[in-house]
Amino acid sequence: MRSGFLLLLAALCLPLTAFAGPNPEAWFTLMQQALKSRSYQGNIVYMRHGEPAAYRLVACSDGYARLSSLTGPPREVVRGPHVAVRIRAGTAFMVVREPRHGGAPLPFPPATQAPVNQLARWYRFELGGWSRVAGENARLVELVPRDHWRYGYRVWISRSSDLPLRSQLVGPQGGVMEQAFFTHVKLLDESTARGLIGSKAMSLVKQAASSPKAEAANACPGAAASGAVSIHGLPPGYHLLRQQCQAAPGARIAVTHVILSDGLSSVSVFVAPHHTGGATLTGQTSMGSVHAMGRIANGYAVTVMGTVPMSTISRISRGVRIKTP
Amino acid sequence: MSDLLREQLSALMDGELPHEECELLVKRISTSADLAQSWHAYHLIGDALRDQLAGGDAEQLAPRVREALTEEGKERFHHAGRWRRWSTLVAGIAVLGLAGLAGSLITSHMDSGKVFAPSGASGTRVGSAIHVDWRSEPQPVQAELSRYLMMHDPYGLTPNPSGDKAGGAVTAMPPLNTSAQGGQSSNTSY
Repeated sequence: MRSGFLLLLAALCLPLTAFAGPNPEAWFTLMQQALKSRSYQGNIVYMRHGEPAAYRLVACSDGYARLSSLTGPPREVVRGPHVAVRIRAGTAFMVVREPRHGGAPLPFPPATQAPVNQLARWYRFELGGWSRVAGENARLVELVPRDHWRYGYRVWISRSSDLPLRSQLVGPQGGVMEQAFFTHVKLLDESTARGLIGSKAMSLVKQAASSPKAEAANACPGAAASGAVSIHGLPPGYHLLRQQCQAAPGARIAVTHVILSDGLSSVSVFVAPHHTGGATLTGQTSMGSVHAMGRIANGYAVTVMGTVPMSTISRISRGVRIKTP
Repeated sequence: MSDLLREQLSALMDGELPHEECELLVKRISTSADLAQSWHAYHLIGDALRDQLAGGDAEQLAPRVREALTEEGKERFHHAGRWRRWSTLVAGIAVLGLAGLAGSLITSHMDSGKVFAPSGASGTRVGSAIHVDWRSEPQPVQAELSRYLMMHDPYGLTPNPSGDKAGGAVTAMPPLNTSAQGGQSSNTSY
């Protein structure tokens, strides 16, 4: 009786990934559950384009998180369940609703909460070997794209906490385009995590989330208003997540912001009135793995941006239609 | 700094730069403030992390960064070959030593475990060989792209070239249409 109780207790103490076995989809699902239910803090090293950067993250199981840069220009983002607030000098500098489209408060992919069976249509799940990351044993799960419209991902999932400890964005020829990994992760109880995020920061997020929704009604005039922008011939798997009128930080005129996603990677389409001589991207440009393409259509500047192949950006850009009033 | 130079610098840090390129790169580091700054950045990030982490964490950081990168190094090692990796690294260090530049930096870099192997380099070749680098766009266009990047991924880790300079006070904008639509097949429209 006593040994049975001890066995049960031991089983309850094991992380869920201990039961995931050889099924990569099961590992991934457990990681998604851990991202929703765990509170933790950790230090992240992010590397892209030969430039390393370091961040500190505190994430709470209630959906709040605080991300602070440790190197480079000071940058701080506090995230709530549906709002991200960029903070500068203690005040809200920029507010973006529905950050990461309801995904987990993890600042690197794959933080998606999209169901695995949906993702499996566009990515093949493969189980890799074991590695040590942040002092923990972690299992590699690879998401291999089934076509050329998206990049691949590798994620190392902790055996002890089920959290993703390391992530890589993989290019079409298997090269690592960018990666992020924890150098240290510590599980927290919820109240400790909330204390580290800070009540003032959380208040800013709550305030932003409850702000009146009336002011945007006339913010996107003319053809940039909702309903006047449509996109035809989307690459397979990509669908509309949201279309909103949003003020760009520091810009006088709001833009229409259309967000497309395949469940894991996302693409933004921005439509704003074009002014001759104004700052508008025409053609293609890249910053590491973030690609962008701009063109002028019907007097409007259309800019498409995302961490997806340029061919995907280009196809979406070509498909943007604007109905002039 | 061009992508090619950045990649060469990364390769030098990795010990994967051919000997003849090592020599040329070192000459360039000694004459280019920009390149020298980037070289220092690899070292400084480790120092910055140490400065800003609590004692216990700081002690654990360097070995763990090294551990993570060593894992990747092993993969590269497998492809590139042990001899080439070490011979080019030694050649690189020798050339740097001869140039009287950064020799001490390399030593402290290796000793402290601040080995940052920028893995983005290989992928960046794929991405940026064809397209114009964002940072070579006119300044107003860069500012616009930075604003859009903040809106696209406000919570992401991608450093914004313009930082918060592109911004200003803004008002929260609610969504006009929050209903998800669209299909999942080719030629989907909404």
